Amino acid sequence: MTQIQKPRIGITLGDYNGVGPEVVIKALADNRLLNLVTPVLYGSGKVISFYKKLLNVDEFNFSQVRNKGQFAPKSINVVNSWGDDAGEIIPGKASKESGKASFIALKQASEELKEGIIDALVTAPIDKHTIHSDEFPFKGHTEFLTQFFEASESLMFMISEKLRVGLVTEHIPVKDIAAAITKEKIEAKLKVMDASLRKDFGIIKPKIAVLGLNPHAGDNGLLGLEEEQIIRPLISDQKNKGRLVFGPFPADGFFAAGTYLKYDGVLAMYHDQGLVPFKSVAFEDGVNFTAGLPVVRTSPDHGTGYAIAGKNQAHEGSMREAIYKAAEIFKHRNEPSKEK
Amino acid sequence: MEKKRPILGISAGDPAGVGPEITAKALSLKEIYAVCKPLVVCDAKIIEQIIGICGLNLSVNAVTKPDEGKYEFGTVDVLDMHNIDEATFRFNEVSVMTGKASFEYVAKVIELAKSKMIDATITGPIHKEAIQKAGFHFAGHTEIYAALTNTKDYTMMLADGGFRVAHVSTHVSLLDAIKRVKKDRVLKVIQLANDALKKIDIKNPRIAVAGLNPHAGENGLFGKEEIDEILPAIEEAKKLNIHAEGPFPPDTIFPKMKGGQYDIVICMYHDQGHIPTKLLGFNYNHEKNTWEGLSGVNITLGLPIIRVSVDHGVAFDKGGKGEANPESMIQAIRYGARLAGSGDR
Repeated sequence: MTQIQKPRIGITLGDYNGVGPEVVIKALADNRLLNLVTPVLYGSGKVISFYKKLLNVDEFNFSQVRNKGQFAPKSINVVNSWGDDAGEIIPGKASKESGKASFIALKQASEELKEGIIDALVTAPIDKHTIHSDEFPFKGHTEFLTQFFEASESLMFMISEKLRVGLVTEHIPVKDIAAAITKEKIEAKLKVMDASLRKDFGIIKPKIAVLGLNPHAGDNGLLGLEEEQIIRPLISDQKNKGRLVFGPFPADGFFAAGTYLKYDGVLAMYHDQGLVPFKSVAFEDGVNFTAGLPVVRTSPDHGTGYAIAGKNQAHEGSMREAIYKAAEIFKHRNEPSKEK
Repeated sequence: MEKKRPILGISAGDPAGVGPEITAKALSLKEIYAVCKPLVVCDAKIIEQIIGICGLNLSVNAVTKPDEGKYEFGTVDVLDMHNIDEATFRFNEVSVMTGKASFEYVAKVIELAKSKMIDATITGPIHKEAIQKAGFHFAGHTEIYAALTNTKDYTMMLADGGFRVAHVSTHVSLLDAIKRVKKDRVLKVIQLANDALKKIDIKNPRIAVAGLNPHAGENGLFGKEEIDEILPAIEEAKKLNIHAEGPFPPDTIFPKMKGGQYDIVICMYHDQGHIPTKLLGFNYNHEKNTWEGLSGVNITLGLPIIRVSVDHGVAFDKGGKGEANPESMIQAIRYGARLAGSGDR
C-alpha cells in the first residue's frame, strides 16, 4: 500500500507582536496533528524561539527549511520569510516593522501556494493598520488573496460544526451596507456558497437560508424596502431555477429558534449579522474560510489580540480547527467523486 | 421582616394567543405571590377557560378595581374587562374583537399605573395586525406606552438573567438606524440603562457600549460613527460617574458579558441586540430534542411607569392548547417586582 501524502499546510505567523505565533505554537504542540498534515510555517525561527521560551512550551521542535519546497514530513517546518533585521519583538505593540514582516510572510506563502509547493494556507491574524502599504492596499487577507489568485468573487465563509455563515458585505461601514446590497452581489455570493458547499463540504444538494437586512426582515416594507425590492424577488428566481434557497428570514428569530440548524449554509447581509451569532454558537471552534478561490485558505476567527499577546492567555482552539479544516477541505476537493 | 409586595398589573395580551395561558401558569407558582400582588387585566371568562384547559388548581376572583384583590396564592385576581363574546371567540385567529380587547387591557394597566393604583405593569403578547384592524395604529407595545404616557426619550432593554442589552434604536430600517447613532441619544440610552440597573440593586453598573461598524470601525478604517458620536458619548457618561466603556467590536462583546464582565451592552440597532439575546434565551432541550424558550424579558426604559413584557409573540399556532412555556412571563413578573422595589433577588 502506498502511503497517501499528507497535505502540506502553509501557516503564516501573522503579526509577530500579536497572538498569532502563540496560537500556532500551542496548536502544533499537540503533535497528533503531525499525523494528519505536514505544517510549514512562514515567518521566522527567531520569532518562534522567542515565544516558545516565553510560553514555556518544551514539546515543540521544528526544522528550518533550507531549500525551497523541501520539507521534513514528520516535523514542523519553518521557512524564514524575513531576516533578523525585521524589528524588535514586543508582544502587544503595533509596529510598522511587524506589519511589514507579516506581509512578507503572507506574500511568500501565497506564492508557494500558487506554485503548488504547499497544498493549503492557514493565516494567523494580521494588524490591518500596520500591514497597510502601497503593496498591501487591502482591508484584509480575503481581499488580498482574491486578487492574488485572480478570483472573480470570493466569500468570507465562517464555518463551525453547527453553523456555516457567509457574508454578502464584509469590512465596510454600516452606512454603506444598504447601497452594496444589490441583486448581482447577492447572486454572486450565493453562487460561491452553493459551489463551495458541494465541492468543499461534499453536500450534494445544499440548502441555503438568506437573511433579511432590516429588523423583522423589513416587516413587509414597513421597516425598510430592500427585502421586498431586492432580496425576495431574487430568492423566488433562485427557487424557480430549482435551487434550495429560502428567506429572507428575520435575523433575530432565525437564530433564536434554531432554524439555522436546518440549513447547510446561511447568507448574512453584513459582518456583524453573521459574526455576532457565529461567535456565540461556534465559540472556540470557529474558522474563517475563504470560499471561491482556486486554493484553500482558512484562518482562526479572532484578531491580533494585542491586549493579551505574550501573556499565555490566547486560546489555540480556533487555530487548531483552522488547520484541520484546511486539510479536510483540501482532501474533499481532491477526492475523485461523483457529483461536484 | 415583611417584604413589600408591589401590585403588578398584568395585561394578559391577545386572548386568542398564549398570553392568558402563560399568565395563569405563572400565577400557579407560589413563589410569585411571595414577591408581588399580581392583578390580571383581562376578561374573567377567558382566564377561567384557560385554567380549565390547563388543568390548573386555581380559582378566579373577578374584581372591578385593584383594592378588591385578595392577592393570595390559589386565587387569580382578574380585573374583569368584559370585552370578549364567547360565542364568536376563536383561538389562534386575528380578529377585531380580540385586537380591541388586548389594546384595552394595555390601556387599562397604563391608566392604573399612572394613577398609582398599581406599582408596575407587565404585558403579555399582543398581535400587531389585530390591534391595527381594531383601529389602533401603533407599531407595538412600546409605542402605545410612549403615546399614553407622553414620553419622548425611551429605549428597549432585553434581559435574560444577567445578559442585558439596551438599544439606541429598534423598529426602524438599518439605514434610519445609522442616522440615530448620535452622541446625545447614545448618552441618553447609557443613562437610562444605568438608572434601570441601579433600581435592581446593581450599585455601580458596568456598561459596555458596542460599536456600530465591523470591529467597531478599526479606528475609522470602516466607519467614523465610533469616533464622532459613540466615543464622545462614553466620555460624557464617564464625567457623570457612570462606569461606561467602549466602543467594543460588536461580535466579541457579547461573549464577554456572558462571561460576567459587564451588566449590560448598549446596542446601536435592533438586530445587534436582538440576535445574541434571543440566541441565548432559546434553550435546546437535548433530552427531548426540542427547542424551549424564550426566557428573556423586554423592559421599556425611560417611562414614568414600570413596564416589563414577555419576549415572544402571541404564537398563533399554540393558543388554547395548554402547551405554552410560561418561563418568559415568570421572568417578566420577577423583573417587574424587583423594579418596583420588592427586594426580590
